[in-house]
Amino acid sequence: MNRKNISSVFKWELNKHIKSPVFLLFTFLIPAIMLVAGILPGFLASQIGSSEQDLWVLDESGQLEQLLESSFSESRYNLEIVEGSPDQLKEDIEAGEADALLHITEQSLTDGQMQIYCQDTMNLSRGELEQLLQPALTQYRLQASGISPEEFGSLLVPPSLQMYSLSGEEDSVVTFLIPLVLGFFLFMAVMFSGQIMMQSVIKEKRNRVIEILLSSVSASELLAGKILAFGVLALVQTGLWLGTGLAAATRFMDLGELGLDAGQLLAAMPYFILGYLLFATIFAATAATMKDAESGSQAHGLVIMIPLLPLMLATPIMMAPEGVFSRIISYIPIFTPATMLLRLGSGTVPIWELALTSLILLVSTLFFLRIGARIYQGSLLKFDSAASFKDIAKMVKRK
Amino acid sequence: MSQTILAVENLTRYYDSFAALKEVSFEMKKGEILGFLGPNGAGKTTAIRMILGILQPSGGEVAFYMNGTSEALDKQRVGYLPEERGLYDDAKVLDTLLYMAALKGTPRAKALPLAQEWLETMELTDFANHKLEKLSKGMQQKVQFIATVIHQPDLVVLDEPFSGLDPINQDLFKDLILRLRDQGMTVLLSAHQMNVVQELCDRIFLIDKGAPVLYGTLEEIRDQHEENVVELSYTSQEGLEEYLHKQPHIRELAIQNNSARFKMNVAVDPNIFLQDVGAICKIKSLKIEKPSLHEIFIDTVKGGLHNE
Repeated sequence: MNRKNISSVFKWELNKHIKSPVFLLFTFLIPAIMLVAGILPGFLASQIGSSEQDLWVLDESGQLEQLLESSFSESRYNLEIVEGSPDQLKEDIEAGEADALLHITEQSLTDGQMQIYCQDTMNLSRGELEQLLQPALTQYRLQASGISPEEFGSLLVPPSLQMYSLSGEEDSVVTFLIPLVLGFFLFMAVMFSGQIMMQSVIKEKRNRVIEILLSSVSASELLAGKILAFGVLALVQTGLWLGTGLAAATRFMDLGELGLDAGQLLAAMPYFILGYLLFATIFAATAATMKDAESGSQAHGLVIMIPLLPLMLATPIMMAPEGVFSRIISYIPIFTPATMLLRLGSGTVPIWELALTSLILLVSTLFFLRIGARIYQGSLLKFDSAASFKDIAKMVKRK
Repeated sequence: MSQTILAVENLTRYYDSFAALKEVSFEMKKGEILGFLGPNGAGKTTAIRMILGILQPSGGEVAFYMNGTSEALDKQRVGYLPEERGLYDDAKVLDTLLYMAALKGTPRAKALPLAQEWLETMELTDFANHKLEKLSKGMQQKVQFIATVIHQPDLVVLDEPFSGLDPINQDLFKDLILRLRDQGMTVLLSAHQMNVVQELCDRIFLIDKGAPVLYGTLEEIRDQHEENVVELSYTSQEGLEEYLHKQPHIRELAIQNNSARFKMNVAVDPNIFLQDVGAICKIKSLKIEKPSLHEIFIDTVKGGLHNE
């Protein structure tokens, strides 16, 4: 294979598709959705929760007034203890004299049932109010039980759970998430760049440019240039998505404290890269056997299921990463990338297994590249019909 | 025009048990235009694809002598305009030309002035940054032609370059092909326009049903042909039609308005024929000439059909 030819194809494909509307749309639309999904709920919540509210409290029990004042002192609610008939007070609320009325009865002290009347429920948060009411009510009940205020502190300390694996390392959510995220991105990279690549191969067949290309470069060089270009496109795309996803995630958690494991990322890389190469080859060879875009996307729909299958089996793999099932499918090349990515985060995979599965994946990727190139070469000039299984078998056998 | 630059020997291609090409052999001399002819399905495109390394032959050899000695195919020294052709319709004209040149090993710095020169020749300079899909079909064919020759190849293979062209562009392409030859390029030209082939080609190679049928210069082929075309006009006649019909060496006789046109075997002595005809009609004019390539093509291919 001539490197210069591969480089020419690579540059052309990269340059052409990185500016294509489909690529730009998918690449920027998905981060935009991620950002909106990450920021919008918080933004809306902050907008709704920020407005001050005048809250009247009608405490018929007369027990909670002081406790509530202290509990609500730093909230957005301006508390005012009122007296009078509930019906009259509700009318006053309706007339706009305050935003809401909290009605506490004697019964409320035992069953916790309270009523709140307001003009607009959108401005009040039920959860927030319950959280503010909880300490006041609990404190009253503890006092009523004869427990001194000094003892409250120790009684109300919430539980804090730390999990440890048997290997002695503390489990963090990231070690569990990394393989899932990488598996997801492998699938997304394969799906999006695979889709564009399949369309590109079919288009070259349909508009007959393929014959001109094959008079200049070999089918293998063309295939290699394309796979590399779409691989870079996939990396750019997933990089952007990952970056945006992380940026959105930092709004909710401190990623630094969770401790990203560089070793785990390093071990995941061969599966990610070889997995992409394996599926990209299968996609390109499949596209070459197709007659038109329509049958190409139907075929794509079927082929896309292959990298997706291990993700569908994610639960049993993650439940028993060292189980017989997980180990067996780790050695089946088309399942290896996603299965190993899942196993990497869910358990401790021995180094020899990492080496062996990587080797099997490498050898089978090279094998698929060789076979894929033959199918690609044999199918490209079949303009008028899709290649049959018999045709494909012949192409594979041809040296 | 003596150095051989391409030698095809016993080139054969089977699709299952069907022989698409059977032991085809020919040579190309440096700087010549060789007409590669044949009816649809004769195997021309299959042969061309094998010569260019796009298809693998079932048998036979293709040898290149670009530098005087036998060598393997160097795709960078060959330009190919396929019959079923197209370019990236969503790419810009100049970008496409530079990519095609790059695939042939011509760097951008060298290809850019060449592309600009060709675009000017084809009056496409204003369209250099247009997407191909915005151009008319004729313009697209011009771009395809430039893409074929931009890297200044030694051997240019043109498969049906005139198909779909209007007469003005046909003339333009004819001039361009002659210009390529004048620049020292060797051209393998496959076309169905026999008048154009007759005009452009130094030699002709005709295949039918995958097998070689005719090979040589136009004169050699015309000389080899067994029939001449006769055009006879007369002012009066008595029994001429009956006489001509009875002649075993005459066929395709057409009589209309005191003139007859027919094909006559070269074995017939023109002097005796003139004497015999002169006795039964008053000859106004008599023309006996070698057939055109068009007629030879039809006779050969139809003859092949009849002989099946």
